[in-house]
Amino acid sequence: MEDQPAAPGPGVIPWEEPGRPWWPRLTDTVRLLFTSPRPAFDRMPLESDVLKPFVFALILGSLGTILNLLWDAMARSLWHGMMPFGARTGHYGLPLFFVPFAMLFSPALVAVVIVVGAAIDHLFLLIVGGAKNGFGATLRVICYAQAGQALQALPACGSLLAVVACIAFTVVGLSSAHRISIGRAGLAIALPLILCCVCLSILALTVGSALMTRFGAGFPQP
Amino acid sequence: MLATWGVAIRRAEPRDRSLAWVLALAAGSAAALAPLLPAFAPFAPVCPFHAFTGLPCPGCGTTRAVLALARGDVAGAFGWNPLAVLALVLALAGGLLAPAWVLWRGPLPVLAPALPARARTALIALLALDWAYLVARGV
Repeated sequence: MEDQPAAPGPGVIPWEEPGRPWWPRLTDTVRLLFTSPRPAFDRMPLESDVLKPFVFALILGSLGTILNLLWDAMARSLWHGMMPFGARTGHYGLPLFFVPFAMLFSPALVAVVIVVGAAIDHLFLLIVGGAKNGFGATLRVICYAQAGQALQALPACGSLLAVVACIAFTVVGLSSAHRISIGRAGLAIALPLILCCVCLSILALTVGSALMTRFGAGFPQP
Repeated sequence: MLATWGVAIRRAEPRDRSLAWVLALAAGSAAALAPLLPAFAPFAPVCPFHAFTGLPCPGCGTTRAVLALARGDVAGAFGWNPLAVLALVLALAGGLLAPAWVLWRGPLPVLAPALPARARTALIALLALDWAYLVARGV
């Protein structure tokens, strides 16, 4: 019996496939990340040119920012009434005059946010002992996680869904790129929040016990 | 000395070029956006952690520090959030110099895949110290 030919390998992530126009590569990559994120990140090269994923992030991130600003400008009076903080002082959203400028500068803003975000995530990966493949791998993951920005196309809940999708893609991507468990990758992302909560609990316990010691003596004993 | 902290040194190689250009692009973008920040800063959302607890989060003061840096007030910037300012200044300078550094094949730090416990403890202590300063100062 003749051997079956081996199934062709999945190759690299569509965005980095050579010889294809950029638009199909972009849409294929976003579709693949939404339908099967783990295999998509497994196909992400860790040693290739990091400018390619960075351009992907610039396109998706800028598009997401522009859509977010558009939805906000179109329905700001409705959103702002629902906001818990700063609504009365106008702390949510830019004045309409600023919106076109913000759209114009969104690629530069996205470039800064991507690199700073990758640096923070990598720092916490180092703390949890999960940075096995260097900063370049973390930066690539953060870049491809911007696929979640496609959800900004949805009005109303799009920005919230996009944040959730970007975080989920980041956790899956870090797990794949650094060969660590999903739990450890999730811990690295959530660590800043966890550290804040733990320190706050310690502070509350310390202040609480100090108050109890100070005023407890004045309580009538049974 | 550095090896005990999980840091090794190697020469920059041609494969580092693309990362160097990405860092330079981000640093250049930050430098280009800095003059616009005072106009946009009043519309930045408030910190939810500060709004809930009345205490600063570890990142609080960074926007005010960047505004102070944009005015050239380095001492004032350090007062708002010392660790964030140190990281930003190093990142900005490092990013802008990165392509030339790689071209010159300068030495680069390489972190161990698993940092030693002492290095991790030092990182956490540094973050905690900075946060304690922010709480004490009431940023």
